[in-house]
Formats: sequence, C-alpha cells, structure tokens
Amino acid sequence: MMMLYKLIDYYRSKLEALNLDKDTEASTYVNNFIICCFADTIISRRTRKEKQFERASVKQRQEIVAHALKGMVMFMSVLQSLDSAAKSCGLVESLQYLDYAVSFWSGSIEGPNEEGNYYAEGHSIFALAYDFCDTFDTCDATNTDNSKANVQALK
Amino acid sequence: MQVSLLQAAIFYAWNMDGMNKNDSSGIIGSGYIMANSILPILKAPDEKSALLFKENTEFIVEGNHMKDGAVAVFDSFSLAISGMTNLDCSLIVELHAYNFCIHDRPQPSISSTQYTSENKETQHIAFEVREYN
Repeated sequence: MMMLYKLIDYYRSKLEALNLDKDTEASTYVNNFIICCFADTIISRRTRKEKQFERASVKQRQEIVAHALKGMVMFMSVLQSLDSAAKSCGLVESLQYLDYAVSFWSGSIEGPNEEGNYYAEGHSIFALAYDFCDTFDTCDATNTDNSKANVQALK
Repeated sequence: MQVSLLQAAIFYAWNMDGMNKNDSSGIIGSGYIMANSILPILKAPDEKSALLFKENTEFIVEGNHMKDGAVAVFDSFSLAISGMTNLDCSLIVELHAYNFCIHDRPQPSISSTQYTSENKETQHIAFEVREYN
C-alpha cells in the first residue's frame, strides 16, 4: 500500500506541476479530477472504511484500487506525457514524451506488435479497449483481437 | 484513448443495474470507479448527464444501483457523448441493442422489451473471462 501511495503522490505532483494551458482537453480533465475525484482521495476513503465503503466486500475494494490505477492514474499519466510532447514539439524531448505516453497507455506486457497480445491478459488502457471490442462490436475488421480505437490511436 | 474508459464505464453500469446494497460483486466496485474516471470527460459537454451517471453508479449504502433505470441513464449518457466533438462515436457503438450513437445517427432507441434480463446474463458470463482475481 505504501508503494501505491508513493506512485499516486508522484503522479499527482507531476500533474500539479504541469501548469497546463487553460481550456485544453487535458487541463479540463486534470482540473476536474483534482477537484472532484482524484484516485488517492477515493482510495484513502476506501481504506479508512468511511460509511460509504463500510459494507464493501474485499473483492469490491480490490476492484476499486485496481481500476483507480488503470482508469485514473495511468490515464492521467498518458495525458501528461502527451501534453509535454505537444509543448516540446520540435525538440528531441518530444519523442521521448511520446514514448512515455505509449508506455503508460499500453504497458510492456503487450509486446512489440501493434495488435498487442490478447492472451497476455494485460490490464492497461490499451488492453481495456480490446477487452470490450467484442462486446461493443468495435473490433477491427482486419484484426479481431484488437479494437478500432486502438488501431486508430496507433496510426 | 478515452473510448476504452467510456466503454468500461458503460459496461459496468449496465451490469450494476438492479444490484442492491447487499450485493458483494466486484462489478459494483469497478462500476463506481470507472464512472468516476470518466466524470471529467462527461462533465465538459453535459454536466447534468455527468451528475446523473455519478448518482446512479455511486457506492450506495441504501437501495439499488442505477436507481433511475439503465435506459434513462444511457439516454442521458449518449446525449452527453454526442457533444464530445473530439470523439468518434463509431468507436463506441452499442452494447447489445442499445446504440450509444443514437444522437449522431438517426436510429431507434432501445425499447423496454429489447432490454431483457437475458441480455444481462450473457454480459455477466462474458465478463468472467477477464475479471480480476
């Protein structure tokens, strides 16, 4: 749990230090997030067993932490990296930030191929998209293991 | 990138429908947190829809989840995503008979008879494949 807090604190400090331009998609998202529902607030409320979570099962608590990391912490890390890449456009660092964004988005378990590795059962945002493509009928026609959203993002 | 988060939030909300405060399923935890993760995205085009989605996916201490009904919540949700100018709705499409791009392209909304418990059972089974252990 200590590692988790350190990780979240790290990303939070990064985000707050970003000083994002107003009215961009990233700044709207991050500002709304810090105000209303940042992951560490939710996780600490969960661990303190506030009234809202006192009836939560172990399974539910696990899901809350796991999905907070995936849907909030990692998602914002991607946004942060993309924002940094845009700000350093034309500089060498820009490519490095893009690499960071892709790594936070896809993780390492997906391997080097564009379609990732469905059988590796990753839990990144990338994996989330192909988890649901069959259910939502949004799998890519040329590669049914991957979603159109992932294919489009990689173009 | 936000497509997968939106799909996850929709999927878990669908499965939360009808579950009550005593249900110990992990889906409730997933639904609550994925809804929170997309609130900032929903809030930008339609604050009212974001609030409705939040209220219906809260980690409740009384009553049932999705208290306003899945159809009402998803109608509002689809209206909100139609306002996201940078989102290609065709990447989200539909969950069973419910088309989330209804406000982008004129198609009939789901009827109450199409929205059956049988559909939901199928979804629960599909979910088991990749649920966290």
